Amino acid sequence: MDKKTMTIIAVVAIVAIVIVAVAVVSMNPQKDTSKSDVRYALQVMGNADEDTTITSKDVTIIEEIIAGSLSFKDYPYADANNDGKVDKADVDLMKNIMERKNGTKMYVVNVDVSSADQSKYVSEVTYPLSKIVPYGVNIVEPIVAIDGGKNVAGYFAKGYPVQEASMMGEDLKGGSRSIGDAAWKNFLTLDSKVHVDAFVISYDNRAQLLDTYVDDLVAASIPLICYAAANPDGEVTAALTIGFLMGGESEKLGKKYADIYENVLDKVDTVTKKKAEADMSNYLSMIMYSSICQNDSTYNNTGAAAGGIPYYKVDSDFAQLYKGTGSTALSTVEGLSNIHADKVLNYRSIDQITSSSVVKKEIIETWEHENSKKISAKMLFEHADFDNDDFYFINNVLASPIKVAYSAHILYSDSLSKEWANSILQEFIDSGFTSYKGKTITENFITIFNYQDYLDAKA
Amino acid sequence: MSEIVITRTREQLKREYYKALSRKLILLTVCITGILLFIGLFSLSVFDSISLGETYEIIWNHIVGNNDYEPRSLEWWADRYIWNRSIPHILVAIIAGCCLSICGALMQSLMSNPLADPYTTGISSGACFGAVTAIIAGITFSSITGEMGIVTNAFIGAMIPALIIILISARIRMTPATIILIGTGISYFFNSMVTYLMISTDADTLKTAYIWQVGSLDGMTWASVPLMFTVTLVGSILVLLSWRQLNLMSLGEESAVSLGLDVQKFRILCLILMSLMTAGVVTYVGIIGFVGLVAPHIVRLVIGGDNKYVIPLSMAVGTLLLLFADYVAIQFANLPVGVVMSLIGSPVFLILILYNHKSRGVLY
Repeated sequence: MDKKTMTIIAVVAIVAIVIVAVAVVSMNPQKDTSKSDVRYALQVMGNADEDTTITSKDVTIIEEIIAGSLSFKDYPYADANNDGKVDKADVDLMKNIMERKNGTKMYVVNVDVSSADQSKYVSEVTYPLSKIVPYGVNIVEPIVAIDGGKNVAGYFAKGYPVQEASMMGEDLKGGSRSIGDAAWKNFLTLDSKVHVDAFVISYDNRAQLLDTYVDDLVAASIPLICYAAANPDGEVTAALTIGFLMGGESEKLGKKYADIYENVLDKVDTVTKKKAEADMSNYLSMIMYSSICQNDSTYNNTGAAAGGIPYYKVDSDFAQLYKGTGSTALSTVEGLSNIHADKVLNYRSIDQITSSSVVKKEIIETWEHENSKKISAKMLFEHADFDNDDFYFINNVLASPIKVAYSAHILYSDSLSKEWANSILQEFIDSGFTSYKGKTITENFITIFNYQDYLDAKA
Repeated sequence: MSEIVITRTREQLKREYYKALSRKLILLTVCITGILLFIGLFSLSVFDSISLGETYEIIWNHIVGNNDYEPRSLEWWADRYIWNRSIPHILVAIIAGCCLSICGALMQSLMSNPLADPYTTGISSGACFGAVTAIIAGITFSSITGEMGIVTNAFIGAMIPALIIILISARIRMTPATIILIGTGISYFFNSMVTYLMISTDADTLKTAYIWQVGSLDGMTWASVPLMFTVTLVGSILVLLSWRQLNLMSLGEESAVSLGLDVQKFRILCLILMSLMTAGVVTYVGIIGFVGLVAPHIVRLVIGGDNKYVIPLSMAVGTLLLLFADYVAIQFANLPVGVVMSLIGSPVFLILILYNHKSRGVLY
């Protein structure tokens, strides 16, 4: 055999081996059974990989568990029908879930309203949710944004009328801080007429849902869905999950809501990873004009998601003084003089604006509002050692991804510009979120403002 | 000559007796009619789309076990609401009205002071401190948490002022003025603690604490009834049996002592009883003001000061007042009943003072 013939045989053999290898590989594809590492996930049983949607990958994981090659223990969400085991019934249910078939029973993982530590609870709902009753400003915001307002059969309070204008349904007359027997009676009457699909509540409002009201929901088998929506991760989880359960445009918007949030977190992560620990910004969270958030307040989560370090972690005296989950109203003008946080993130809920004159009025009113001890944010700022760019009010009515972006800008303005934060709000507007679409940043939204903005407004 | 005088006096006395009796009967009739009217026509009429007749039909069907309605239908919800919410709500209003007004009558006789009410000894501020500590700080005096933790805290807090008074009474002589001053001191102390807790919390928790403070009948269930009912029933019987001693106390301490009453012992026993009764009620409904103050005054204005009649009729008037305030509270903006009671109670109180002044020159 000459050299030429041997070369031809070798090339043919290599080609044959490659073809066979490709054929073998394509006949046994490498299955992706990795779990998602997002901080929030679609909370529907069957979302085995705990990412933001249900796909064939979840079915694959379930089949692998049945086959014994994966462990159920590692994929607790694989139990689509929530019966404590993974079997063919889960695969059958997954087919219906994948098809988004109307009338499909789905099992939603949410927070137990009666628990003090936000333990998990599974509610059974029927797809799609088309008649819900939400309670709590923090959960109403994402529901309205994902076009869920059309699926609201009744509501207890409209705290921010412009923002929530798309919320349909019957006004049940309850207050934003209490439901009350009369309003609950209206809810029962409404349910007798339309058979509500689910009662959705923000965890921070659980105290208003008295045990007796919960008993009614249980007796009537009305699903109760609860998320810690005052926390950015909880709000995004609520948008994602409720959007999925409503289906259609709401599902798309819920997914988009989560994707934008993920992009914001990635960007923040990129910036903060480059920083030395000493260069990380710490922050003090404030609410209600002049109250300091206590260590475990949910408001501290927004700053943390924005890559900041909550002030209580760097000042042990402060940590000792401000234990708890609520807030402390300051009673002297020197209230902030001993606090040496890098930044102050003061959250204030302001509805969408309808005219430019409202902006100045809101900014002035926010800075000058006096609490019961006659203390305003203006007084606190003027008696403390903060620069203009260290103390900001952030509009709490905005969606969490936007709030986190603006908070990140305040914390790391050298790396994350205001234009970048504005672009996140613009993405909400452009993506068609119901309470944002057709609006402009300058004409419809108050985002963040500092003392200089207050002086400008006064001038 | 003397015979004529005696005859006229007898007739006069007879007329006055019948007049007084008729006043009592009229007041009792008005109260019972009013209570039945409020319960029958207003308090049970809970759903706009269900007529009063249908409401009674639902109640009857429930009693005879014929309440197999389609789940989540209006009748199903109404049956559930009436039995689990409306009836306990009405019962609590009746019990609270009876208890607070009987305690008011008791305190006013005991202290010989028209301004005394069940909260004079600082019970309300103690209960409030207990409840607010549970609501705001999350600290309970027992291992119980949640709504029952608030109830337990309020009860224990309400008993602290009574305990202080009893401990002090072992060392010094207790006059009405001393008790009122001790009560005022205790109230200031607890109020300062409550104020501190309230200014240091967030708006939502503050509202929950504040609603508890002003008193509300919202959210009452059958679980609220047994303790309130037991302490009110036992306490009322004991107070009703003590009408003679209370009449002696109304004459003033010296007169009561001269007529053989161990004033110190009786006063302390009554204070313990009144503290238990009031604590049993405020623990569940919060601090509903004016019932205990106004109801006995209305009764005294109409029938005089005999505690044999003042006490039971105060219970009837107090119940009627609270049911009326509750109805107004539900109809108008769903306010806490304590707010409406104060709105109604304060002008009624002023009118009573002016009316009494016009007829007698002084209130007492």
